[in-house]
Amino acid sequence: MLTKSHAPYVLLAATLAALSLIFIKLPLFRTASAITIGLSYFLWGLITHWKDKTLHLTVVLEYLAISLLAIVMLIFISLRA
Amino acid sequence: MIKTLSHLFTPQSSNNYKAKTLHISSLSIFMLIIMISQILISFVGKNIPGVLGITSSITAEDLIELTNQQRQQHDLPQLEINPALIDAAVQKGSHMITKDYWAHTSPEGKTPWSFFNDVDYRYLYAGENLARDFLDSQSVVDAWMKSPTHKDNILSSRYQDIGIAVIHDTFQGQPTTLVIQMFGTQIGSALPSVGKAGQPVEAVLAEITPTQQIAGLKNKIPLFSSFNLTKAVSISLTLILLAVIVIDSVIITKKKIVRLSGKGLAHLVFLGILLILLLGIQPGLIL
Repeated sequence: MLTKSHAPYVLLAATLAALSLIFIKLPLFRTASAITIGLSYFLWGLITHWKDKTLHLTVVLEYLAISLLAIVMLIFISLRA
Repeated sequence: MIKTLSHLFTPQSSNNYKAKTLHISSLSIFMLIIMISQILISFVGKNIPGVLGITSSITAEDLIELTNQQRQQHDLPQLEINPALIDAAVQKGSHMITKDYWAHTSPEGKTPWSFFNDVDYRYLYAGENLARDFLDSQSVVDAWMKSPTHKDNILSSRYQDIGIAVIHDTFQGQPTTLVIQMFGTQIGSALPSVGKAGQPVEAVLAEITPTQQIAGLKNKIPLFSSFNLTKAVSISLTLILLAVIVIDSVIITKKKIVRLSGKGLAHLVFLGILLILLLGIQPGLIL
């Protein structure tokens, strides 16, 4: 059952789903949407942990690394597609 | 061995209660693997012909047939193959490869219509569809039919003639297949009547062989597709990360370990969507 604590995750999933649609449907904007997808997740991480008062350098770097990894994967696959 | 795997994939004291694979250093190695694989793919694609590329089965014959099938389904007359339009399509393709651009109009402002003029095709109506990196003819026509502007060209009753060039060559650094489809009606031509049969397809279709391939490799199908290889590497790394995050999260929750880290559920959502995107992406661009 969904509770208030799930709200940030629902927001994250909805945002990423919308951006994913743009990524798939508009091939000419794939690089831009790949960067937006990664950036959105990074910002989501920062805001959520800041609200929870658990925002530390290690956490920031973790979100940064995962976001960058996704951006790199999406851009390279777009270039080969 | 088991100790190493356990260190890599499960949270314990040796990895500060976080699977080593999820540490910043490991994530950086993942990124490095992606980048090195791309450099290798580009290097092999350029320097060792026949190993990497795209295994495209696109032919001009199929494209003409599929285009005319679409017209037939909409009660439109068949397009006739015009040698001048084929020349124009070939010239347009060669121009894009030589000048290294992917657009209807070249960076210096050469429009598609100038290619019609170059081959002395005096047009009343003219149109151009482009496609690249598709694996088969059906996918090209399907993509065009999903795009309103390309569909308009294919289903326009104004056009009488068609010319297609399919060019397999190295374009913008990687082996690719370019498709140039040109439509037209010459000045003074009566518009075709419904049901008029097209010229036999074998007669005048352009299949351009790669300019940079060495003799003997002309018809060699590449061993690997650079797109599929990139896709496989990316999907594998994403699956590894997803699996480790699941294992890590389950153990952390079970043992009630408190640690400073990102949210496992958020990582799962993000990487899950990334996996769907990687699985769903298909090669091919139209213009």
